[in-house]
Amino acid sequence: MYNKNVWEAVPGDTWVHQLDVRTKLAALVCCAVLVVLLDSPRTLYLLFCTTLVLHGIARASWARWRVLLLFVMLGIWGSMISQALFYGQEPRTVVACLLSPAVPLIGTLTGGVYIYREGLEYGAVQALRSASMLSMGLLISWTSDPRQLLRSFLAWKMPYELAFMLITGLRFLPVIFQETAVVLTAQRLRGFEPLRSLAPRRLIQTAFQTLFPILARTLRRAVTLAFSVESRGFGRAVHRLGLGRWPQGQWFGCVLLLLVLLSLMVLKVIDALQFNGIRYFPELRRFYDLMKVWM
Amino acid sequence: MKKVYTAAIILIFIVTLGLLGWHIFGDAGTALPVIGGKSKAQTAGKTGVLREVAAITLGKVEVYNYQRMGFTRGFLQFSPDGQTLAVGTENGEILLLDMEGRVLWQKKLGLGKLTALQFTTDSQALLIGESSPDGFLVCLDRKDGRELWRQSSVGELGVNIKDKTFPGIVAIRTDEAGRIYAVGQRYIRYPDGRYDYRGRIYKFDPSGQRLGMFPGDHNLDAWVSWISVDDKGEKLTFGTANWDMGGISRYTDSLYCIDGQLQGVLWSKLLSPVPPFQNTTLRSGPEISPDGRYVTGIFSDGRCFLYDGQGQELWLRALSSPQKIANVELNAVGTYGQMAGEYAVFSVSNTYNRANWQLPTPVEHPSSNSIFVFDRQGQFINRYKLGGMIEEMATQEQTLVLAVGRNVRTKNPAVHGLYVLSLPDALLLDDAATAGPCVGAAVSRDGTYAAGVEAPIQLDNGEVIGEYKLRLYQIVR
Repeated sequence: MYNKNVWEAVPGDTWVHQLDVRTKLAALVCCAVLVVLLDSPRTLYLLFCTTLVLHGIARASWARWRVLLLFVMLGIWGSMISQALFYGQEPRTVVACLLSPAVPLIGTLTGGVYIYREGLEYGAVQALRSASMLSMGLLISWTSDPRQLLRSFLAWKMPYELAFMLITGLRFLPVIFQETAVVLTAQRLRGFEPLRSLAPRRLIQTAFQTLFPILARTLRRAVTLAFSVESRGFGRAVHRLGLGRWPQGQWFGCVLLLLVLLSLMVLKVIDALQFNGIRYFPELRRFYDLMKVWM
Repeated sequence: MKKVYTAAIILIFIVTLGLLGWHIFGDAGTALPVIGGKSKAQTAGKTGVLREVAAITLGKVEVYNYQRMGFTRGFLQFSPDGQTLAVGTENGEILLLDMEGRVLWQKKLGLGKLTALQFTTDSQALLIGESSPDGFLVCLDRKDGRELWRQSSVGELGVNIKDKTFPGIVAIRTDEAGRIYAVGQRYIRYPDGRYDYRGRIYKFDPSGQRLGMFPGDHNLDAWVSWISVDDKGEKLTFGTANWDMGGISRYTDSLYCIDGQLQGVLWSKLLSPVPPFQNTTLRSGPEISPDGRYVTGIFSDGRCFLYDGQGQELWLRALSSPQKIANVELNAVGTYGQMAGEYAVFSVSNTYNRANWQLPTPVEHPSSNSIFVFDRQGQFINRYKLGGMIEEMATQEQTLVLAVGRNVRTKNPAVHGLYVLSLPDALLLDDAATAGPCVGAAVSRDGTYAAGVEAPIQLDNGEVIGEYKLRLYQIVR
């Protein structure tokens, strides 16, 4: 995880690497809209699996798979556990009782702590949304040259300052992990064991002892970078190298993808009108049936 | 070490993803049948009459408890040719299985909620009733589940999507010639507590062409959720079950017999209510015999009856009269009344407190949770008492299959299960216990197969027992 190469884009000859960066960004936008639009667990699951397949096609290294899966699992299990404990909607089914309401003081105060089945399900489905976006984002980050990303943002009229910050943030992600590794190594050399105890007080102390040096080094690096870009005329209107031609096939593919997305949005609105008792279109019954299952 | 770490992460992830996928896609029909019908054969029933062929999960459903009046439903029917079993679930899934428990196809209903399921007379199609903004009657091809036709009931019954008062096809029957009869129903509950009932009876030919409606130019202003038709399609019977009689002006009688052409009422009966009830209600009945010569049923107040085809009362018996004990008025509700060859079979369900069904009662009603068998002359043959509510009753000339569910008084889960009784003596042949309440039952026409639907339930201590599951059994006598 602390290896810089795990985070930086490396050239490759796979189909995913060869896709135009604009195509990848269009796919990312579609994914972002879809995860909000979809409520059906099965469609969200399929979407997430699709992003994993793309990582497979891109021949991600084992180190990258490790990072991706670790983050995804943290999200899924974290979301499931938190929702299982704090799910407040009805109906809810108790799967297990962690703390009986009969326990003096704490049981009375909390009214009991339970694991709810519906909470587990809800948490898992919510986690699929964030997991899909995480997976798709990492795919683009790992397979696209940041300079190409910057150029495509600029080509799509994103303000230069915003695009620059976005790409800089992306490029600095590996550096932050590297900094973390350096800090942890330095602390270990001084006899410090960050995970010697899992007591909350100890963990908070460890977090402060690790985060402050990282923050200090990051700020120092940001200042250097700021001076560097200012000295090179940051924000000055100059002619910049544009992007090459967007391959026609990919362009059509993206237009098609966006049209499908637009249609899904319209259908979702129609479904919401029906669900909320505002308007029902009998002639669209087949679509309602499909949406009930898949959206 | 790093490789082990990576392998462990990948393994945990695959398990997580697999479990998630199983949970998400693990709907109805995902369990395997019992291999060869043998491994569980000895354990299915206590006496060996019931041999389990398959146990198939029907997906996830909301888990109810004893405090809820309505409960999870499961729709079951064997095809008349005895080759297949159709199952409809609470989640709107329809499955077709062969007699070895293999799922031949399954289909999701979509927006609508499943309310009725019936095979056509020739077994070649499956009729589905649903409640939705359209209230469709849908006909599916038995071969592959392909939709053949659908007919809407919204034109007659109306809809209010804002209040979600939808029309629905709540009962379907067929006659010998393959003609289809369906009851459409919609009810509206107003904020002031009043009810408005709307009902229609439809008649279709096998291709889905509408042949008639009853009433022709207006809706039934009564709760009608049952229909029965004789083999020739000459007589239809239905009962009314009105909670509130305030808005009812035309269809005030308790029981109606109409002609097969749906032109008019042949006869009807109004039975005065038994105190302390204000209305006489007939919910799951009446049933007309295949030859059209007898009509039987049981009112909710516990009175069962047999009329002849012309509406002459042959006999009337009170099986569970309301009682007042320790200043509490209690009653056991009459539910099903069916003809089984020469005999009439009736079921009486749980004991309820008249003031509020959830309130306790000092004792259980002596007639509660029982089966009663009479012959056509009204001679009492036998009675069998079960420990829980008879959720559904399926009859064949010599076999009676009962789905036994909750007992809201004793709350004893040990009584749940599928029970098989012999007819006419009403003796227990076998019972297959289920953890959760058994909510649906069916028996094949030749009496060689029985099926039941088990549902999960949450006990008062919070524990959830049972699964939403189909259980298919072979009856070996």
